[in-house]
Order: sequence, then C-alpha cells, then structure tokens
Amino acid sequence: MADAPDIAGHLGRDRLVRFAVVAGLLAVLLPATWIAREIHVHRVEAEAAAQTEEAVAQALDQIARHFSDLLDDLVDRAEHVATSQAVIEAMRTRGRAGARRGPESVVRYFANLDVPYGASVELYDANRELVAWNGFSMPLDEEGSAPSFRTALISDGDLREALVVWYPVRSGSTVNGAVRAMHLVGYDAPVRNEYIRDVSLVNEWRRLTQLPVTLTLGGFADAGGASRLLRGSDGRVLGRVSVDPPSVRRLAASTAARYDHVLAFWSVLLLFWLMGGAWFVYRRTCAPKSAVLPRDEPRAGRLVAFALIGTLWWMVRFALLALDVPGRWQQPREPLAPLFDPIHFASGIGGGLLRSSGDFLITALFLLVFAIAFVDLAKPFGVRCAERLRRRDSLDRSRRSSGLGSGSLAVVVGTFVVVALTLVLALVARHVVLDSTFDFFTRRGLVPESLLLVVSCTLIVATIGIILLSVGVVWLTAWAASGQASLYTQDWTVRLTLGLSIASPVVLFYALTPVHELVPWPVMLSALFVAGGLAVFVLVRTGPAADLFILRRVLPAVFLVSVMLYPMLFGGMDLNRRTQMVDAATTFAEARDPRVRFALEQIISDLRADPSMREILAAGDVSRLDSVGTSAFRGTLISVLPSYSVYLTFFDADGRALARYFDTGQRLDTASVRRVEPLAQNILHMMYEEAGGEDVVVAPITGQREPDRFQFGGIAPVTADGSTVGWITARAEPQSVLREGGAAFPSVLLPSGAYDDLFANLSVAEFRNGILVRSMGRDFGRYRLSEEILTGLAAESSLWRSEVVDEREYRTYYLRHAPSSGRDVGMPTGASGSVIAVRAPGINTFDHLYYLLRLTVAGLFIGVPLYLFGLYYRRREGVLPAPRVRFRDKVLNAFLGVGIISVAAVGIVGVGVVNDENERAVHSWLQQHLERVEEALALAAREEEMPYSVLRRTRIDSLAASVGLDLNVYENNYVVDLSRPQLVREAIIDERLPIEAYEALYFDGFRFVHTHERVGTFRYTAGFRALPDEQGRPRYVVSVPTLPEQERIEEERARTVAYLFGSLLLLMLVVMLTASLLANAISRPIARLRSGLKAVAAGRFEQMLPVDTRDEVGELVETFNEMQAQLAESRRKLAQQERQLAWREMARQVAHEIKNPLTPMKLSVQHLRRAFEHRREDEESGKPFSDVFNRITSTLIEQIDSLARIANEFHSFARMPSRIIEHLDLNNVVDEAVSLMQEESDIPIDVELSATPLVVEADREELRRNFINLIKNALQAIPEDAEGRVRVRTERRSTAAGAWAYSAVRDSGTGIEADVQDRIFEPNFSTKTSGTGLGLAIVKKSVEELQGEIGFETEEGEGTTFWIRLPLADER
Amino acid sequence: MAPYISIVILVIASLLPASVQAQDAGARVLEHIRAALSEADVERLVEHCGERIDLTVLGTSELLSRAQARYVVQSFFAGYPPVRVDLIESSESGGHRFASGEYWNETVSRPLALYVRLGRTESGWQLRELRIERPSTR
Repeated sequence: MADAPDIAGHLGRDRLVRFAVVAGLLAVLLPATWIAREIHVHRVEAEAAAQTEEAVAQALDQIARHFSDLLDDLVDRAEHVATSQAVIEAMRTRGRAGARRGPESVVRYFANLDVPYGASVELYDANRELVAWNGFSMPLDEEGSAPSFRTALISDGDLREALVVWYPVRSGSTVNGAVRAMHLVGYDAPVRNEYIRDVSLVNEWRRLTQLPVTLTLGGFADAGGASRLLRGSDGRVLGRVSVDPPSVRRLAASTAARYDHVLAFWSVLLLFWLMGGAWFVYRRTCAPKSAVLPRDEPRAGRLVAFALIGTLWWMVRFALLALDVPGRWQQPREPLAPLFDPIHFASGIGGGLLRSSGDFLITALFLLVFAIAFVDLAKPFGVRCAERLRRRDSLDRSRRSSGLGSGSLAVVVGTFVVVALTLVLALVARHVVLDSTFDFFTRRGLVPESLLLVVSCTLIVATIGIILLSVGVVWLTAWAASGQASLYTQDWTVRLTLGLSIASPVVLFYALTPVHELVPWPVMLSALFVAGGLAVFVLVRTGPAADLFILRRVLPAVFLVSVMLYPMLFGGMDLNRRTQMVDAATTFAEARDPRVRFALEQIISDLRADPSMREILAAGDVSRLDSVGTSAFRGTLISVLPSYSVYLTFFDADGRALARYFDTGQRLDTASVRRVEPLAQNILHMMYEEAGGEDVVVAPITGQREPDRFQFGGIAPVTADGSTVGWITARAEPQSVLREGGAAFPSVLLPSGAYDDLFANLSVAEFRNGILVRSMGRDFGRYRLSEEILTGLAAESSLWRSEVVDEREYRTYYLRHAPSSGRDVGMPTGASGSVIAVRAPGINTFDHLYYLLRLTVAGLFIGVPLYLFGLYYRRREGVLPAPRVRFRDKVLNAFLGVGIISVAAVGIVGVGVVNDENERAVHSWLQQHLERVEEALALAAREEEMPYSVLRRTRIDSLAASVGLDLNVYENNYVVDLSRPQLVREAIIDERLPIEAYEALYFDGFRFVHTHERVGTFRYTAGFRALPDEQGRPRYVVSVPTLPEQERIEEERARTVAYLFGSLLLLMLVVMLTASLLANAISRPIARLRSGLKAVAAGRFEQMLPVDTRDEVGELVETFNEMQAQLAESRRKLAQQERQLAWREMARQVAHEIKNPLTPMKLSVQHLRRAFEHRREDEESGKPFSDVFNRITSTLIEQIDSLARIANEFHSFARMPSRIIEHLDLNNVVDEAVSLMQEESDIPIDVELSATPLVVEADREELRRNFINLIKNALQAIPEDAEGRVRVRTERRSTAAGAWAYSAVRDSGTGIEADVQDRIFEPNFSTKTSGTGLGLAIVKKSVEELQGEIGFETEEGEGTTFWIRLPLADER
Repeated sequence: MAPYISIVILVIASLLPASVQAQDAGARVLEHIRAALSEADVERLVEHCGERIDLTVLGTSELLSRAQARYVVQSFFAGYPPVRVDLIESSESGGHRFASGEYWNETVSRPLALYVRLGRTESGWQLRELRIERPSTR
C-alpha cells in the first residue's frame, strides 16, 4: 500500500480537490437543511393557527383541483358522446318519429363505446326515457325539467355515490335528449377481496392530503370553517368537503418529515460520493492492474483492502435501510409504492435487507456489484493458479517439501464457503415464498404479474451474485491450494484427498444439520459444479469478454440460473402448502369453517335490513314470517355449505320464540317453537348481553346435539324507531350426514383473508368410523377411508400420502382428531376420534416445467437487456460484426433461431386455440344450460302457453335449483328476479342488461348471446337467452352467469395452457440439445478436416483422419485421407530427391572442401621441393632451409588437420552410428548439457525442468550432443556486447497424437532473418562465420530418427527458440 | 410479611382450575397486545404471534407470516400512530379468545375498529387474527 503523499500524487491533486469540494458541499447542505428544518418546524409551532389554516387551505385546494379534474374529464366524455353525429342524428330521428326506442345505430354506437370500469354513459330522450347505455346504472336525480347541462353528485341509498354530468343533445336549437355521464366515486363493497375493493373519493382525498376528510352531499349555502363547497361545472353546489385541521404536533411532524426527505436525499448523495471516492482509491492503489497477478504484489494487502471496501459498501446499504431510502419517497399512490409495501413481501432475515420487494431488489443489486468486484479481485488469483498448473514451475525449493495439509485445508474452507453461500441463497428463496403473499405457483399466464416479476428477477439477480461470489471463492481456493507441490503429482491418493476435501464439508453439513430441508443435495452438488465449472470455463475460454453476452450463452445461463433457483423456491412453496394443509385440517377439525361465520352474519344482517321484517316482528305476524323465513337462505353462502345444518329463530320483543326455519325448508310452527327456551335463557342472548349490544354478534358456541362440537351462533335485535321489536338468532352446526347439490358459491363474493388463503385449492373432509361425514371441495369422491390409512393413523397421529384418484395426482394429509368424548370412531387398533383429511392437487412434471418456464421467462427480463448490452459492447469493441464465424456457431444459431421461432409460434397459436376452444366451450355450456331452462319452462307450460308466461309464475330459485345454476331474469332491460338477489342488492352486478346483450337480442334478433362481464377486476362470462312473446319480441331475458364456475373454467384453461407451455419448454430443451449434438456432429469432422489441412500445410502427413460418418462429410474425409496419402508419397519422393540432391551437394562440398586445402598443400610441397633444390644458395644468402622446411611442413600439417576435421565432420554427418538406446529422463540429459555449457560461458543459462520425469528412449550421448549443439548455438546467437540469457525448459505436453517430452532452448539473441529460415536445417548452411554448418542438420537428423520433431520460432531482435519433442517412452 | 403473602397467593393460584388460569393468561396476553398497540411497539406485538397471522389492515386482508406481519404493522403504525387503544369487549369460546375495541389515532376523525382473536396452543395463547378497519359507513 502506498503512503499518503504517494496516493495524492497517484490519484491526481485536481481530482482530490474536486472530490473534497463536492463532499464538503454535501456535508454543508446537511446541517443547512437541518437548520432550515428546525426553523421551519419552530415557525409552524409558533404560528400554529396560521399554519393550520394554511394546511387546511392547501388541502382544500388539492381536493378542489382533483375534483375539478374529475369533473372536466366527465364533461369531456359527456360532450364527446352528446356531440357525436350518430347520437345527434338518432335523437333527431327519434324526436320526429316519436318512436319508443332509439334507432339501432345509436345502440350499436353505445355498444362500441370504450367505457372504463367505474364509469357509465347513458342516453336519454327529451322525456328522460333511456335510449342507450354503457356501464353501470344509477337512479335518476330529481330534476324534472327539460334536459340541460348540469352536474350532480347522486347516491342510490347508502350503497354507491356517483358524480354525474348531463349534457344536452342538440339538433340546431332543439334539444332532443341528453347524455348522462357518470363516474363512481363511492362504493362500500359488501365484501373486500382481491377483486372487489371499496371505491371512495374521500379516501383518495385522505391519501392526497394526509388529513381526515369528510364529504357531505347536497346543496349548502356556505362552506363554513375548514370546509369548501364543491361546485359542478354549471356552478351549482354539489356537496361540501371538510378537512379536519391537523394538530400542531402533526403539522410540525409533517413539516419535519418533508425536510427529513431532503436530508435523506443529501445523505444518500454524500454516502455514494464517499463510496465512489473510496472505490476510486481502491482501484488506483490496490486493485490488480493486469489479468495476471504480479509475482511481487502483496496479496494479503489486496484482500484486506477489498475487505475494507466491501465492508464500506455494505455499510452504505445498511445506511440506506436506516434512512428508509428510497421507500420513504414513495407515496401510497405512486407507481413504485407497491415495491415498498410489506403486505406483498417482508422478511425479517438480514436485519431488514429483505423488508420489502423494493429493498430486496436493492439488496440484490448491491450483492451483484459486490460479487462483480469480488470476481474482479479473484480472477488474477485464478489466472495465476491456472498458470501454475500449466507450468508447474512456481515452487521454490522450500515449498516443494510441503505436504497436502494446507492445500486440502484451503479446499475444505473454499467448499465450505460455497456451500454456505448456496445455503444463504436457499434461505432467501424460502423466505421470499414464506414471507410473501405472492403466488409463485399460479397458472395465470406465462409472464408473472408485475410485482412478482420484479421479485423473481430479483431472485435471479441474487442467484447470479451468489454464483459469481462462488466462482471468486473457487479461484481463491484454487490459488491457495495450487501452492502445494504435492497437488501436481498424479498420485491417486492426492486425488482422493482433494475429493474428500470437497466432499467432507458437504457431507458434514448434510449429516449434522437439517439443511436437506432447505437445499436438496443434488441442488447443492449442482451449485458446486456450476461454481467450479464456471471458474474453469472463464479461465480456459478464449476470445473477448464481450462474447459472454451472445444469445447462445445468455439463454442457457438464464435457464441454468432458473433451474438452480427453482428447487429452492419449490421447497418454500411445498413447505407453505404443507403448513396450509395442516392449518386447514386443524381449523376444519374445530369446525371453524370461516365461511359459516360470514354466512350467518350475512343472513342476519340482511334480515335486519329488511323493512318488512321490522313490521312483521313489531306486529308479531307469524303468517308473514313464513315468506321471509323460508327465503332467507336463498342465494346466501350458507346454501352452498352442505355439511352444515342451519336454522333461524325469530323472537318477539319479549323474547318469546315466534318461529324457526331450517335451510332444508322445514319449519317449526309457533306451538312447537314455544317449547324452545325463551330468549332470556338462550346462550346467544347471554353472549349478546355480554358483548354489550353490538349490531350483530356471531360467535362459536357449544353445539346442542354434540356438546363437544364447535359450532356457530349469531344473534341481532331488530329495531324500529330506536326500540327493539324482536330478535333473530341463527345457528349453524355440522351435519353428520352429507347433503349434495346446489350451485357453487363464487369465491369472488367471499371476503379475502382466512378462506381465500387457508382453504384455497384444498378439499377437506371429516371421516368418522372411517365414513365420510362432511366435506368441503370436490376432490373427496370416496365415502370411506381405506384400511391402510386407518391402520396408519393408529400408529401415527398424522399421515402424508401421495394418491392418484381418477388419474389425477393428489397429496393428502390425514390428521387423527380426538374429540373430548373420546368415542371410538373406528380405529382398528384402539385409536379414537375422527379423521380429518386435507387434499391438494399434486404437482406433476408438466406443472414443474411450466413453473420453471415462468421463472425462465422472468429471467429473460434480465437476460434480454444483458444481451442487448452485449450487442452494444461488442459493437463498441469492434467484435461485431464478427470477422469470422465458426461453422458450429452458425449451425447452433440457426437451430436456436428455428427453435425459438417454432416454440413461440406454437405457443402463440396454442394459446389462441386454447382460448378459442375455451370460449367456444363456455359459449356452448351457457347455451345448453339456457336451453335446459327453456325446456324446463316448456315442460311446465300449459297448452298453448309460451315459456315466458311460465316464467312469470315460476319461482326463480326453484328453477335455478332444478338446473343447478344461478339465474337472472330481465324484463324491459332490467333485472326483475334472480336466484342470488344480494348480487343486485349490493350492486355487485348491475341490474341493467348489458348493452351488447340488448343489441344482439333486441336488434339483431339472436335468441342467445354471451357477453364478457366483470365484478371488480374479476372477469366472467354471462349467457343471455331471449324468451319471446307472441309477437316475437323478447319478453324476458334469462341470464346464466359463469360467476360461480369461472374459477373452475379458468383453472381448466390455465391447466391446459400450463401443460402446453410445459411441453414447449421440454420441446425447447430437446431442440437445444439436438442442436448442440447435431452442430457438434456436423462441425467435428469439419474441424478435424481443418486441423488435418493445417497439419498438411505444416508438413505433417502421418495422421490419417478417422471416418466416423457415412455421409458426404465422411466421403470428404476419405478423399482428404487419400489426398494426404498421395501428398505424403509425393513428399517422400521429393524428400528422397532432396536427399539425393543434398548428398550430391555434400559430395560437391566435400570435394570442394578437400580441394581447398589440397591446392595450398600442392603449392607448399612444390615450394618445399624448390627450396630443397636451392637450399645451398639460400643458406649462403642467410635463409636456412630448416626455416623454410619448418614453415611449409607446419602449413602442410595445418592443411592436413583441416582435411581431417572436414572428414570427421562429414563422417559424423553421414555415418549411421550404432546407438545404445535406453530409457532415460530427458531432464537429466538436459541438466548435464546445461552444466557442461555453463562452464564454458558467462552468459546465464536458466533451467526450468518438468516436475515429473520425462522418460524417452534415446542414446544418452547423442541426445546430450544435440542439446549441447542447440545451447552452443543459442549462446553464440547472443551478441558479445549484449546482456542476454538462455533459457532451457522441459515439460510434458499432450496432443491428439499422444504425449510428448517437450524441450526448448530459447536465446535472447537477434533472431533469424526471414530469408534464411527455410534453409536453417540444411547441411552446410550456417549464419556464422565459423563451423561447418552441419550442426543443426545433424541434430534434426538425430531427432527425426528418434521419432521426434524439431522446430523453431524466431522473432527478429527478440530471439529464437529451438524446440524438440520426443515421444514419451511410457506412452508408446 | 410480603413474601408470605406472595407464597399464599401462589398456593391459591396453583389450586385454581387450569381453565381459570388459562383465562387469566389469555387476558394478560390481550392486555399485552393492547399495550403494544397503544405504544406502537411492534416487537412486543409480534412476540405473541404464531407462525402465521390473519391480518386485516384497512380493508386489506391477508394470511401473513410473522415476519411479514411485523413490517405490515410497523408500516401501519407509521401511517396511523396510535393515540389510544381500548379493548371494549372480550369473550372466550373453545380454544379461542376474542376481543374488539377501538384504535384512536390522529389521521382519522373516528376511531378505527379493532378485532383481536387469540388461539390457545400448548405453549400458551397466540395472536391468530388482528383486524384494524375503518368503521363501516353503511
């Protein structure tokens, strides 16, 4: 780590100054904002009255603006319709003709209007008679004058409120009618669930202003204090809105909160700025600058620096949590608000890191960034490790002696960390399921709903983060372990030790802890495999980093992550479902069916609200009670609870029983009922008294028939003018006998909470003596428990079973439930009590595939942006368009494209077909049932009587019961009778005929039509059938809604779609697998052919390519082999010719070399002869003969020596020596050669020998001479004035042709010039001025005779490497 | 003297029928819950929760895990800080104890309706259901 001044210099002083200025500015803004906050809060407290007034005025302004906007929209809609040509023309025609009904065109115009839910548009003529409509209905307001522009706020009693705009339809100056546009502003929903919610303008204003708001409808003269009059567009007062003035404390708190938001913003900016600075310092000073770890860098220091920066990073995350950022900036109505609403997801793990979907997303992004930085840190360690494994050269003498201990420990620790990371991921995935209200395993569409999509993507991001961290850990582990020499040996004990080091943490985890419940062991092994595989893949892969983002890598990666994540999610879901089943069994065992409680409350409330009930009870008119009492159960939830017996008892004001009515239709008359205990002694009345006089009390009570059974009772007084005129009690108790029949109750009409969540998708049953006594749901078709279950329950208190019924798989939970009476209920071995069974549909393979596909689709929301980023990145890096595309890639891409297109096409068409078929089936189902209704009416008809006439005298509930459906009857476009009257009474469905049905039945003359309707957000289909009168006009319209059946229909449709997409995923996998296999099958021979061609180009003809295909490619390979054989033959002949030429050349050279000394020898001898002849004269002249003799003979001897040397050289080149072949270690031979040469030269010779012996078959002397030759050449290649080095190394190498002992002698000389490189191994060629030029030729000849190869690589100015590879003896 | 009184009380308490003791325990848990609600003390409230709780807050009703309920109630307290909480009615039936009351706070002019249901388990009373709703306008 550099010291401080160095850092300053390293980072740049300007940068530091800029950083400090911004940090300082933010640091100043914080206290400045805080001071402003305090001043403002103080001022608010000091000027409380004025501030309160201002707050109220602001709130009222906000409300007025919002109301005005609402009104403007409504006026626009009304004006748009009223001024449309179709409406003007229709009303003009209608006015002239005086017809009762509007022309067809205007009905069609209204049927085609796009009216949002909660809005309505109606067209009235000048007589205020309805002509056309689209949307909900409301009563007309009390305006009797001619249609004119006006606005109003109206209500239909205490149920709904609507804002209304009347807009006249004019034709010139004549007003022919008016359009009434309405917007629902208030609806107190009778039940609240995921489909049905309250509509409340007041609540919206409360959210807007954060103050209590009250709205009073009607005209007011003035607003008064904290109120404002709401005026319509016509200026009339529609109502008065009041705001409760906030207290000073609240005002101060909200003022402070606004500043706190700003303070949080500055804090976040400062935090990230400081974090950015810390990161910058880290990158500049500590982070590796190259992909390979420099040998001399302080490794521990780098890890410590990363630990510090990582800690800082996570401190920032926790600081964001402490500041509640960004959740604090999300107001309830803002688009991102659901992300931070804990009702969807909130988990306690991680100290708040997962406290909402949004916080989970931010945490996952923090994790991803952290993981990327960690990988960036760890990769050089991995690269170094890979280098070590490749070269096996990094061990110094001291470390060579170390054992396996520390290496194994590193592997154990690394594996432990990867396992722990996987467990963390599994824990998070499980809590995401358990601590959320998301339905991960729904079959509603392929793309999860938005919030679930975000959470799914977040989980995938977290998984990617964990995988990256695991990869980093693998690299660090491998690096730590690769320092041990023993690990390089091929000994099986080393491999076993490493295997045990990896396996032991996994085994220990699974043996000693219950982690198998969290992560199945195959998933854990897969995680380890993925981490290890990815770590190796990144290191061995070649090509630019941008290639990681190609479609063929992104898609499998997304799928791989999904596959890894899915079992973890499924584990959570399975646990959730099992918990739900156990809870449901317990709840059902206690007979606390939540629907009963709700149903009783519903019946009593309805009866109390009935005005006739007050009159009847006040008058004590028992005869009139019958009609009320017998119809009280009709259409209520209780009518679909066959396992309960329910009865109502009516009392007069004095508490005397008047009558009792059972849901079965039975009745106890007054005389009989008088034997019933009086109200004063009734336990329900006591409870009511104890409760202190609520409106309706419904509570669990003790049963009458079986005191140990848990039942429900309800009681409420009926009041008139403030005094009690009577009482109603209701009691529901489980029946011991099953009843069947009745239409299913639509769950859309059930309140959310216990029922929806606890009993959703479950069927529950109770068995006594092994016999079914009550059930809920449709999946228990048996009335008797099997002996196997009873026997099992005798031993265990509960059982889990996977069962197949009617070819459908179920999971069933059996619970032995012992009532306090302890009565024997048929347990064969003394077990007592009833058996509660809970059954849930099983999850089959196609379900798994579908869920996996949904998760993969969610993953594509990350994968596709990654791919697009990759496109941009590759283009920027110049990788795209690719200069070269591999054939295999082309084939894979083509298959992938075809696969995706076909799967998408099949999916789209399949869904379309499924939807169409479903629609057709629903259409047919509705039509058949309505025909049955008409047939039932026809059967009951008297002679010549029309079905509509029968309908008039038929009770709708008995008709509905006879066909087993809900029925609605319309007359003159309004409902006049229906089997579930509360649907209209509570405005769940509209009382008016849908305009589409009106158009089809009244104008198009169809007998049947079906329309798509909705209750809240719940969509269903309704069928309508006209019952015409004698003139052929529809007199009544009978309607069947799919409301109760819709869920089953949707379930069936969803199941089909799920299986379709499950199959498609399977198809996609098969396509991908086939594509991969086929691409490999096609490209492998081509790749072999390519390498064969390269080998031929390099002059290697020995390797014939295998022919393993019988197609054209196989023929091509055969042709290539033939061609190669011919080329080899040609080459052999050519080589022979070349050798002959070479020998000729050598002979010429020999002659030349020999002739060269012969001429001076001849001249010397001639000179000697002449000197001998003239020796006397020469001696006289002072030139003694002996001098001449000595000089000439010396010359002769030199020349003879030269001749001998030449002869020796040529002899040694040409001779076929008798080698002594032996097994020898190449390392020893090289070591000897180097030792010899090092003694003769000052140039240092580095040796890097293979750690393992390289045994070859050769003549030791000959081999040593070869290396001496090469080393001598290398030493001579280094210029005298240069400071060079020679490096000799040996290693084991494997190729397709086998294993080789590879050796290389590298010099740092000047290299070999390009124009002489071809001749370097030719005899008599040399770049040196000395020598015969036979050295390299001899070495080449020697190596080739040993079945080896020799070659060289050279670079001018850099040096030359001569390499030799010899076949390893043990590989032969 | 005081220790003897305590011992006497303990002896008498131990002689009481188990159901009476259970009722008292239920009442104590209800009082703890009331206090936790009135002090906006989430941690104290979730102490009494089972693994799952049927929670209804201003019209949104869900079966939640304890961890989730903790944050939901915390969020509710932030939006509707309590001024006072009264449990007005209480009754016990079967293995359940019910209580209803009023939740007074500053943001709405009328108190919110409160409903608490406890369930008896082997380890004592657990909060099974909590409903905080606006009083019906109907």
